[in-house]
Amino acid sequence: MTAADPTPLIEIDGLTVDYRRDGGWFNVINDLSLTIGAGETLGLAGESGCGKSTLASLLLGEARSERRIRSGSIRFDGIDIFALKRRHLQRLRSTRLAFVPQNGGTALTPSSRIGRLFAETLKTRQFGLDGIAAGDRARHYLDLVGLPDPSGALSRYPHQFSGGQQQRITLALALCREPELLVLDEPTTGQDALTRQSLINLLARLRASSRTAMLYVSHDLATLSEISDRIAIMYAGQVVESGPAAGLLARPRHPYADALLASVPRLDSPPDAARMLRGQPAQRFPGEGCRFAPRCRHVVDLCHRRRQVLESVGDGHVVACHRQAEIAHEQVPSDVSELSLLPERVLA
Amino acid sequence: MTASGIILADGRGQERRRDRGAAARLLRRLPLSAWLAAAILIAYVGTAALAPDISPFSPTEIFVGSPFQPPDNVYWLGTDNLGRDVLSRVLYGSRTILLMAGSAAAISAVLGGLIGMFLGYRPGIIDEICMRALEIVMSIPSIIFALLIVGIVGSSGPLVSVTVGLLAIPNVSRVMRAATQSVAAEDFIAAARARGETSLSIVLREILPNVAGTLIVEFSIRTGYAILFIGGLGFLGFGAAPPTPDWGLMVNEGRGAIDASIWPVAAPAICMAVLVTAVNLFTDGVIRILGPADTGRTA
Amino acid sequence: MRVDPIFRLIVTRMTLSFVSLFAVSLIIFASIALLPGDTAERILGRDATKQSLEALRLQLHLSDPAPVRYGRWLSGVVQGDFGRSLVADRPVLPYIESYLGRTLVLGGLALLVHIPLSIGLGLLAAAKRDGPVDIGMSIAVLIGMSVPEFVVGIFLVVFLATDLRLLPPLALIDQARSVWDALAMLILPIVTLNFAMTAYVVRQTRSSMIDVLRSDYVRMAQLRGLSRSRVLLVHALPNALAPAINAIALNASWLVGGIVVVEVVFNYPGLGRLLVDSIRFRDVPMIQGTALVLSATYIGVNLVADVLTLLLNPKLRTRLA
Repeated sequence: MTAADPTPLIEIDGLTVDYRRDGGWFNVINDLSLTIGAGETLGLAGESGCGKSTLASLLLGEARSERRIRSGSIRFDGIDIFALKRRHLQRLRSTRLAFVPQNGGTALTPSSRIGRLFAETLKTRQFGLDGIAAGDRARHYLDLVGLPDPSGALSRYPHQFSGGQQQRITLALALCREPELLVLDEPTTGQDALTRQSLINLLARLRASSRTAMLYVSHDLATLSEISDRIAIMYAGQVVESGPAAGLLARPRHPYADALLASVPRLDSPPDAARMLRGQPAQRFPGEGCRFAPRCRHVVDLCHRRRQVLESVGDGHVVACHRQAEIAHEQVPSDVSELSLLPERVLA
Repeated sequence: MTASGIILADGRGQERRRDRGAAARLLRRLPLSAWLAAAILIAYVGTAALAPDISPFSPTEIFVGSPFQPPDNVYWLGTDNLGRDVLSRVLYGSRTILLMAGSAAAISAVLGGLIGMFLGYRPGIIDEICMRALEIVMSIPSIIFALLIVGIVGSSGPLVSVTVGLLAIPNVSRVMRAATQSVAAEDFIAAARARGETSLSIVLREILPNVAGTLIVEFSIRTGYAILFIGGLGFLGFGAAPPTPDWGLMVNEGRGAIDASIWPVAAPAICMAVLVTAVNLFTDGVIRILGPADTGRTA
Repeated sequence: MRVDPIFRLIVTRMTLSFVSLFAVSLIIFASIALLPGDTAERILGRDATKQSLEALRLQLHLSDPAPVRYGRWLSGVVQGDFGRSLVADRPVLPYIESYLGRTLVLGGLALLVHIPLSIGLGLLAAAKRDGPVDIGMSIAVLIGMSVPEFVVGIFLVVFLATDLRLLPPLALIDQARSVWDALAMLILPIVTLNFAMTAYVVRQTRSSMIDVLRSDYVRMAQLRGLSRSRVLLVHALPNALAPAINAIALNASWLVGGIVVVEVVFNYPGLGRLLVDSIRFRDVPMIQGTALVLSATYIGVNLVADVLTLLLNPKLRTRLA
């Protein structure tokens, strides 16, 4: 993860995306730049509506009529995803990219047996796998994700599995191609704690054993802490802080990142109310000022007027806050190991 | 929570709010086509009510002109096979069809609704038996049964209405039963039972307002079907007894000499088609504002 | 064995159908026999002579109690004896056989046209959603659902047969001189029948296709890089068609009733027209036979539709296994 790395696998440059709603265009991603190196796991954190899911699906070149890319580009291995012809994009999606959605159950075609879902992915010309080899690989990955009776599973329909199993099947479908980039959009949300933990462990093992790069989108920093090499924090369509996971979690520099970390429930210490998030994200952001300013406890007048840019604080850690140095003096570094995988906030 | 009634029951089962604003808000969301349809329906009802006042001639007086006269200044739509004024027959015919279809739909809606709510609220052996019985009734093709009854007993408006109404009861009760079952599973019903309310009171005061939307939609749909069905029966000669003007029968009577004058056939046909179109449009609109989940149907 | 539960289900449905048929035969007989007034008088009319009334009463064994008459009729039917027509003084069964055959031909051809036509139009409307094609089709659907089929039939006859002389106005198919002749006679009735049926299925197909195209699994199939044709044919279509199949099944049931009116409009010598005529002539044995066979057809169509819907739905199929 040093500057001497070759071309990053994913290069997002100055991306600005709008959504159409109620007859108008709303900005959802604003001048966002991010990279993911080969084999690296990037955790993308943020509240609902910050644009992280949009970003995730854009990495696969998903075009939607209610969405438009106003400017910027996304490059995968140097290829501009949105300039690709449909056929080439299809090839990328079927070989080098894979996506795991939030709801694995609804992502499985009800009328298809599981075996067929694997077959149409593995038995293509690009893979050159015949029926037997494809079946073997499917079973291997179903076993890997912890599904009991992989052989039997192949001949069953999605509705015959529980929600947790469906999620694992979706994951297996994504993994069986051994893609270069795996994009996971909150794959453990809505699962019970045990299922979630086993999925996280599985992903951690994968991260260690394979060369697959991962973008893991989640609102839960605790989850990200266990599997990310680097973490990027998004707020209102912008990256406000990113850097190596351990360093960022030990000392978050951006007030939002700090507040996010403060709101993770801990076993040992009571919540630090002063640091926690207040208020709701706004819908519109007129002007160039910092978008987090209305909710920031370190806000000054300049924050509303000056555009925040990502500044380096060393070691690949960047922050978009002009006051980050001053704020840093107030902070006490916290121990990352305190962040265990606790259940979601108990209070509504 | 459903918004299909003016009385909304709170999900926690503790309160009942009277939300008069809900009805008005719903109405405002009604699409334009539904308003147009409603206007047409009101026009039809108005015509039916005022038929005696606005008809130029008596609908049953024969040979006021020669048969199959083309339209002119006196007979705006010409005359039919027995020399009767087509316009007057069409105007009076609206009474016939609205009364027959309306009462048939009302019979199926009321009785079907009662049966459906009763079966939906109380599962058990009675429910099983009744459902089987309803299935058997539904396995009789309606038109055959209607032809038998009306054909043997004799054409009569009330008989047709009652027969058509009774035949549609299983369909309505099925839908209402399903709707009742889904409402009965909600928490506030259990809360009402825990409060010690009687079954009858629960059904009338808690369940009925929440399935009312479904019932209204069913009534609307049944009216549309009834008009088509009764029109068909009339066409086959099994509708209201002559000389009562029956649009379906008029179409049949006029089709022999359709080259002489198209109006004895076209006028009742167009009136029937427009009426059913308006009913269907209105039904669509109601389904759209009440939400498909409430009504158990997709538009 | 995986086949066994399905087999059991089919047998159960068939048994229920037989019970229904039995109940229907009871209802048919009862509605004629138990209606108020004198049966013989109703058949021959008020002005019939005493002798003819007596003769008829004897012929129909009207002095026997109704249940006995029912039993006699039913046992006859089971053995293939539907009685004799009062009008034609000939056995009823051969009439029913030939007329039923013609009705089945008309109904079958109408369905054969209906299924691909309505599904195709529904998919087209979904594909060109909110465009002029879609809106035009919505209007056509509304009209198709609202105009009574006899009106459609009559106007088709007026415009295509009488005015333009493209097709024959009546479907007197027993007088057809050749297969082409017969087919030409069938075109208008088939179009008329389809006018009403297609509307429902188009609507259903369109809305379910639109839903399916927006679903998570279709999105997932696209994101997995599958070709567009594969996404449409394997992932979208089967799931979109399920509700449409249901609507088609309902139409098939409707067809048994709707065909009666169409046969009368076009004077087609089918079982529906036979029923109407025999009612008009008070030909009791013929009425009973025709009504029973038509009802049996209706029940049979429903049974086939039920079983097909069951087999085509993987969720229902696997729940049994």
